[in-house]
Amino acid sequence: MLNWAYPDAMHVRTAVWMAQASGVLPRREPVPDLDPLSVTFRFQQSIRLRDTQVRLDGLRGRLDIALAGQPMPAFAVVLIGPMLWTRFESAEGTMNMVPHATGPARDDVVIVTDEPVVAALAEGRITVREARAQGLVKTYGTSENVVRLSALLDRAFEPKKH
Amino acid sequence: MRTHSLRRSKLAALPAGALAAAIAGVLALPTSASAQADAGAPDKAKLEKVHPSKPGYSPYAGRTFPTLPLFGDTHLHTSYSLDAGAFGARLTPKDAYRFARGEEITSNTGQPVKLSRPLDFLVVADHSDGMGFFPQLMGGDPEVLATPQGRKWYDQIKGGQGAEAAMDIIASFSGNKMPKGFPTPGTPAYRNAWQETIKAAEAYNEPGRFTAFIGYEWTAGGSSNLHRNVVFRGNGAQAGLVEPFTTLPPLGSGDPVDLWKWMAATEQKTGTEVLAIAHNGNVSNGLMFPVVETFGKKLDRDYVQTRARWEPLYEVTQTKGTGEAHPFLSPNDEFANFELWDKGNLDGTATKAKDMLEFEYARSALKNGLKLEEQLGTNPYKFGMIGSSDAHNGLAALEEDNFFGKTAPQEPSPERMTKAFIDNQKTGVKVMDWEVGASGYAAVWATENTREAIFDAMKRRETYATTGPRMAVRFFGGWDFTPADANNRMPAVIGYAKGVPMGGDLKSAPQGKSPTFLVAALKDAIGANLDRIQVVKGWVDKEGKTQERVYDVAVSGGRKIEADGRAKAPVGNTVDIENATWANSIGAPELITVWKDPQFDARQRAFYYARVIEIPTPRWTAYDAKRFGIKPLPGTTMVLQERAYTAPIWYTP
Repeated sequence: MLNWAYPDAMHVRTAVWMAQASGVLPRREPVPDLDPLSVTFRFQQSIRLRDTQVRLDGLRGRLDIALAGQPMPAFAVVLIGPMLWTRFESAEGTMNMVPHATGPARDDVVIVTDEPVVAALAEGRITVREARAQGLVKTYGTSENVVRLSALLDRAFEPKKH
Repeated sequence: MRTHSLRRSKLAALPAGALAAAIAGVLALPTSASAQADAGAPDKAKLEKVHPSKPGYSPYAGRTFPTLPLFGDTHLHTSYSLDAGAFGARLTPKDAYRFARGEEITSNTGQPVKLSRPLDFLVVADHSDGMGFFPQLMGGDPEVLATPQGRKWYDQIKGGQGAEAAMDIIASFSGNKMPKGFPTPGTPAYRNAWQETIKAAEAYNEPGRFTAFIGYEWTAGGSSNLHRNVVFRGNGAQAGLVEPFTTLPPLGSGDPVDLWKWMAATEQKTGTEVLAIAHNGNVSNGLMFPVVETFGKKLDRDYVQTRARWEPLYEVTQTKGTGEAHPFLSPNDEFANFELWDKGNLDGTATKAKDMLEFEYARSALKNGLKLEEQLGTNPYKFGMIGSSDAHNGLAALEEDNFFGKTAPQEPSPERMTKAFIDNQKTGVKVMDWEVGASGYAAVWATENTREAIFDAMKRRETYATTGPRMAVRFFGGWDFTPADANNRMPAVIGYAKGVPMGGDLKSAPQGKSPTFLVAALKDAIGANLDRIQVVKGWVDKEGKTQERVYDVAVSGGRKIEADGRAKAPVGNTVDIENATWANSIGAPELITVWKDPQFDARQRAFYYARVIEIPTPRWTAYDAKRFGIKPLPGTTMVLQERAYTAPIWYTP
C-alpha cells in the first residue's frame, strides 16, 4: 500500500541494499527470521528500535538547530524496513518529535527512508543531498512544502566547514 | 479405406531411412491392428495438410507439424489484481507484456530487470474480483470516486491514511461487503478495467512473434484454493463482449460448475473459444480433484463431462509449489519430493491432513480419473500439464538466476530469504519466502506463434510443464516404435507418422502388442545438462485399484538401467553452492529412446507421461546468498534438479 500512497516508495528498499553492496552505506547482516514471540527476537528488536530511536532523536536535534526558530511544515518519517513512523512538528521555533506514531497526520510531508540511511546520516557518512540523489530518501507532499523541508534537511546535514 | 489412405499420406512425408523403418512397422501390423493404428489421430484432411504427399529434397519444406516448443506464462498478475496492488505492485498489464517480450523494465522495487530471452506468449490473468481497483482508485478514476466509499478511501490514502484504507478495503472485500458502486461486472469502473486489460493484450499481440492472450483468474474457494485461469482464443472485440466471471454472489459464484456455465454462455455470445486451467491443488486441502462429491453434490456424468470439456490443462508447477507427485502418495519415487507446499491451505488457516493429498496432486488425479472414466464414462482429469508463475508483480521472471519473486516485497533484496510468507500462529502453518519456487513456464507445441495455434495446441493438450528451463521435450506413443527410431535426428517426423503426441490417445491395443513410446529431450540452450528421462505410468488394475510406476528410460553417463526399470546410480553433483555455479561436465545435452511398456495389460486403462530431469543446479536461494553475501537460514534448499512434465498419453481398452 505504501507503494501506492507514496509512489515508488519501495524503490528506497532497493536503493538501500544497492548502497550497502557498493559500500556507500555500511553493510548489515539481515536479522534472522525468528519466532516473533521468542525472547531472542524481542530482545534483538528492542535493541534495534532503541538504537534507531536514539538516531532519530539526534536527527531532531540537528533539525532543531537548523530551524533557527523558523516555522516549518510538519512531517513524518517512515523507515520502510520496520515500518516505523515518527512525526516531527515545529512549535515556537522548536522541533518536536513523536516516536512510534501510527502514521502521518493529514497534510504532513512524508519522508520514506530506512534504518541504515538514518544511521549513516547520524554518523556523518552521507549527506541528505547525497541520500536523496541515490534514492535513499524520497519526499512526498506539496511541492512548496517538499522544497522547504528539503532545504532544512540539507542545512541540518551539510558537511561541517573547517 | 480411410485408415489406409491416412497411413499412405503419413509415410510419404518420411525421409528414406525412416520410411523404411516405418514401412516395416506397418507391414508387421495384423489386419485387426491396422484398423486401430490411428487411434487418437486427427482427421484425414488435417493429417494430409501436415504430411503432404510429394516430398522434395528439403526435409523441412512443407512441414506443418509443430517444430518448436513455444514457452510462456499463462498465469501472471499485475497491479490490476487487488492483492497484488495491496502488496505494492505498480506494474500494469502493458508492463507485463513488454517484459515478457524481452524489454528491460524497472521492477516495482526500482530494479532494472530483463529476461535472459523473450517469452513466446503470456496471459495476464488478473483476479476477476476487484480487477483494476487499485490503479483506478489511485488514479482518481471518476467512476470510483463517484462512490462515497471510493472517495473516502482515495482521500484517506492521499491524506496519509493509506494503511487504514488498505485494511478497510481488504476487510470489505473479504467479507463481501463492498459498498454500492464498487467495481463489479456491470459497473462502468469494472468495464474500464477489463477494457484496459484487453487493450494491453491487443497492443502487444504480434502474430508470428509474440502472443498476448486475453484472460483472467477466477479465484474461488476462499482459503481452499479452487482457482482457475480463463484464457480466450479470440481477440479483443470478442472478449470485450463479455466481462469476467467473479466469485462473489449475487453476480458470481465459487462453484466451478457455474464457471463452466459462464464459459459455455461466453462461447455462444462471443463466437470464440475459452478454456480454464486449474492450479494449486496442493493448497486446496483436498478439494481440487474430487472423486465422490463436490459442493455437496455427488459427482455425476454431467460433472465429469463438463470438467473434461472446459479444463484440458492443469498448472502443475508454480511459485506456490509443485504438485505433480507427493512422497506420501508415491513412496517409491525418489524425485517426488520437489518444491512441495504441503503444510496447509492457501492462507495457512488450516493444516494439511495426509488423507487430503490424494485429491490435490496431479498424478493421483490422473489415476483417479481413470477410475471415474470406468464409473461415469468420462475422465474428468484427462489434462495436459503446464507450468506458470502466479507471480503478483507483473514479472514472469522464473529463472533461478533471475528470479524476481512472487510479490513486490519478494523482489530481490538481502531480506527475502529470511522472511516468512505465511505465518499463522494459530494453526502453526509457516511458509518461508525461501520456499517460494522460481517456477515455472508452459511449453506448447504449436504450429505457429499465434493465439489460435497456441490455444488449439492447449486444447489438444500438446503441452508440457517446466520448472523454469526451456528444454525441448518430445513424447509420442504408438504400437510400432522400434529402437531404430531413436537413431533418427528428426524424432517428430517419426513420432507423428507412427503415433500420437503428448496429450493424445491410444485405443484398443492390437493383439499381442504393448504400447511403445518415442521420447526425446534436448537441454535448454543456456541451461544444464540432463540427468534422465523417466516414464511415469498409472493404471487401474484388475481389482479396480489404481497403481503407478516410474521407469527410468534414458539416463546419461552410461549408467545402467536395472531389470526393475530403474537406474540406481545418481548422476552426481557439480554445484558449488558458495559461488552459485555448476558445470555441465556430467549429464547429457540430449537423450532419446524408444521404450516399451514391459507390463502392459490390454484390458486395463492406463496413462503414461514423461518426466525429464536436469542435473543438479543452484537454486535461486544460492544466487541470493552469493549476490547478497548472506547466510541462509538452516534448512534452506540451495540446490535443485529442474524438470519437465509432459502431458500424458492415455490408453483406453
